[in-house]
Amino acid sequence: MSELEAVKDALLGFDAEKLAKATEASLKKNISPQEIMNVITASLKLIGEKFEKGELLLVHLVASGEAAKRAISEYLEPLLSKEGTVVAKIGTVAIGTVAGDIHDIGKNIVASMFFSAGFKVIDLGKDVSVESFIKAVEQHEPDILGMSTLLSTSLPIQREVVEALNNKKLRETVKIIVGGAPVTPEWAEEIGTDGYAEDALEAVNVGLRLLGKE
Amino acid sequence: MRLNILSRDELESLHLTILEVFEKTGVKVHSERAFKTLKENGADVDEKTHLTKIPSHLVEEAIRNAPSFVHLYGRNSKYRLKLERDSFYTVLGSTVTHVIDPETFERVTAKKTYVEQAARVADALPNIHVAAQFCLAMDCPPENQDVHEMEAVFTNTIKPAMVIAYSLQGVKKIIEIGKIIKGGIERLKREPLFFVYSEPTSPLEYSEKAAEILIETAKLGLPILSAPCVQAGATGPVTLAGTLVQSFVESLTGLIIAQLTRKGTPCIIGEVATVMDMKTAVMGYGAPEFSVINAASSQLAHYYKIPFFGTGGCSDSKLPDAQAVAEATMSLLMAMLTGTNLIHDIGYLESATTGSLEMVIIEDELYSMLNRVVKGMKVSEETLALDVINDVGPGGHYLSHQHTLKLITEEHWFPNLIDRSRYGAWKAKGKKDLLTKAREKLHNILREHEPEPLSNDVLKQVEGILESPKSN
Repeated sequence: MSELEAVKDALLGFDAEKLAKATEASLKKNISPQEIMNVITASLKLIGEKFEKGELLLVHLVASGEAAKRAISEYLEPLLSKEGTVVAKIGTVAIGTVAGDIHDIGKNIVASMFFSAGFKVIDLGKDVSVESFIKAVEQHEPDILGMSTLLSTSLPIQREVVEALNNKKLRETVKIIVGGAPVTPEWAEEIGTDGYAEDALEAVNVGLRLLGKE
Repeated sequence: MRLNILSRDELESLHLTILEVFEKTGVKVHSERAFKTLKENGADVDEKTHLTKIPSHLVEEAIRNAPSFVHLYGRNSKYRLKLERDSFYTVLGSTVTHVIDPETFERVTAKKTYVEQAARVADALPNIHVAAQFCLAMDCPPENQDVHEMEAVFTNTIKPAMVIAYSLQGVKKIIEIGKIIKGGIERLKREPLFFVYSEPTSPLEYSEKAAEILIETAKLGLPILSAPCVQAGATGPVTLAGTLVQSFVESLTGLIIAQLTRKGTPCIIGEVATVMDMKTAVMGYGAPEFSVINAASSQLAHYYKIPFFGTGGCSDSKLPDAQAVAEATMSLLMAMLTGTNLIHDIGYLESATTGSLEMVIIEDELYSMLNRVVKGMKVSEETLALDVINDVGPGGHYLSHQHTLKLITEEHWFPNLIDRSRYGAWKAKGKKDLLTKAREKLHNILREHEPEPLSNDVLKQVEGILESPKSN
């Protein structure tokens, strides 16, 4: 098996340890970071397709996403940035679970899916205040801002973030997607966001559509 | 009839693992009041991260200090539910975002009217024992939404209720309403009209809000329920046993805080632990694994001699259809057979997203039917019927025998909604299926059932609480 085949094999086996080793071995053989990156991206795409067809489960999707993230951040990105190459990304997503809520499993899944789809993901965590969302938009200039909540009592925070972005004249710089159990398409529209997604797969599709990259 | 799925040895293993998780991993308790109390009592608390490691002696002492029974009362003393040993009662589903509108049969956004309707339906049905906020009053002001929901419940049924508060202010106001209805805190303590639900967040966290609500309730000596919602494979280990262990650590954390706040606080422990469906990321409310975890949890709670709150009568189906009835029947039967003291979320569809009153009507019937299963077979001289068999002898019949007439209603179950008529009679009555009959019964209740009203004086006081400012 060639080094690059080992990279693909490790990722399709959802094995973070093996992927890290295969990435390291590929670099030692002077395979360019960009080439390794391409194999990882193609493999993640394949896994995503298999998930959509029902051949793979959510656990495979998240595990491969996390494995890829580790290999990229530990081995590939440092080299690429040294070379001055900017890693090609579809876009940047900043995502968080809004203040008053620490239920973040849904947000984690959505973040993982965005990453696997080729986005740069800035995970703001849970119980994220309005100010922290604004700061993240100012600092990272994301293309998409994602907000989740499981609790209906935290819904108003989503509206507050949209209002604060309006006040700061930042609203036009970012597309906003909301989700979570009590969130409805009507609510998403009422508070002035750009999109609503019922599940993680849809969130990524909405994101791609909003950026015109479907 | 009673179902035990674990051996004594297995219970012991679960318990020991629970104690080890408390000591080794700990729980993040995000409430200063709570972790201060825990620290004072010997827990190892990191005040920066709020990580709290609780020594096993503290865990076991709290379990011992919690009463082995909790009794709930309706508005009057006659309606009493004894949560103890193998008793089982049903609890209406709670706080969903959507309902199936009884008139249009369309899935719509939840609002206060549906909370009122559901409480009236629970009031009318003999086998729905505890009422709840069937759905969210999403048309009410968010800062007072929980109080509106409980007002809708308490004014539309005489039955006890489960309380889910969304803030400390909310729980205080709801307790005030309880005091007004029962006639003071002492009476409310003696005859609790409700228990308050405090929900830890999996894995292994207790939010400030949940802890504060719990402390406020425990301080007054009112019954408290601590129950997490764990999704095996996502917010809990993929294995059912591992998920049960984590779930109990979370639930017992609430019990420990309650016992340290006020020794002897009536505590109910519980879980809503099932699988995350790995194709949809949905929490599987109709999953068979749910029933297995529930059965084992009920057994472990019995081992601790603490009343247990589990789940049954729910579905992942979008409609009150065959899937819904199949899933609800499975989980209800398992919960009843394992002595789940409170079986909650009657009427849940769409994985805890939609509430269906049609399902509540159907499950009232299912409970009645399954109760006959659980009753099992009585074996005595009288039921063995040796003399009766001898009396009738070969070729005779039993239809008119005194033995038959005496025991028929005790031994046989009689359906109400379930249809056993012959084809001709069924056709003559309009070829109705179960759902059609359930909808007719539902419409009938909503049209005709008038719950016993609260006195004008009480209503006025309750209204006052509802309108009182936030800071009150």
